[in-house]
Amino acid sequence: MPRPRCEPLFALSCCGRQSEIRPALSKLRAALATAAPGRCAEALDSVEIAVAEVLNNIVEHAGPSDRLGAIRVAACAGRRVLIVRVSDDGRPMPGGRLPVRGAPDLAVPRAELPEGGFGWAIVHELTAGLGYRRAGGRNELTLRFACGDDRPEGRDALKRPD
Amino acid sequence: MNLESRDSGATRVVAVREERIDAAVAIRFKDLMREQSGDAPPRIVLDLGDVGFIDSSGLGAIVAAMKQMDGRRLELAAVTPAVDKVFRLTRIDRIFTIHPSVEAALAAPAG
Repeated sequence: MPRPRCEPLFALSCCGRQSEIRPALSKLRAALATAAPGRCAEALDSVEIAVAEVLNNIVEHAGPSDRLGAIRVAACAGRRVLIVRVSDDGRPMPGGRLPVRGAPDLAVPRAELPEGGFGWAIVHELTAGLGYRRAGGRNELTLRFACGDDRPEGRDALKRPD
Repeated sequence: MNLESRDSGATRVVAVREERIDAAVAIRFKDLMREQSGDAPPRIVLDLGDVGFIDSSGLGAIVAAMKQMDGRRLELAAVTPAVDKVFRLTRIDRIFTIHPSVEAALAAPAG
């Protein structure tokens, strides 16, 4: 199936360090706030939260790295969708696939409540689609965010000529 | 990471003067909350009105703070939309009493 057209909006390379995450998110959000179609504005919180989880995961689990380009983030806008691709040159995902969707069990005594394990559940919940592949020595995650709805301004936005 | 606290009757209000509770500050937040709870009244209300962003590390730190309260209650107030979204997705909103504002929290009967 041909890949639908996706207009590039943003690209960034950075090192794999915790200190790089806030600036990267800030730049991504600012770029999308300016460049993403108006109907995508409501998706920006979801994008920032999900990409934060992905970047945290890379720094924690794929291994920290001072190489510029250890992490790359790119975003593009298609019809009613924002796509963010995040790649890193760290260790592959365990088992070569995405972690399962499940959120931690909260039906436990207070003293046993989980203090972690929420990250991938958040990413799955916030995305309309999530893909992973290992290629060229890099992990590549593709996060798809639905944007646009059936409100009048959403329809108007879709009618605008390209 | 900066927390401000004031006591009002049997409640301590702890305001997080920080725009983000994320992986960069989660451990510091948890440590500061432990200091806050040392001599606190039986109920602590965490004012999240300044916090516009939280990630799973920050969420875990709030849960950890609640678990180290030593018999005190930890309630949340003034949750902003992006933070509320994370609370709802993870169902953490079912674990905590969440008040629309600090004023509402102080007016609410102690549970």
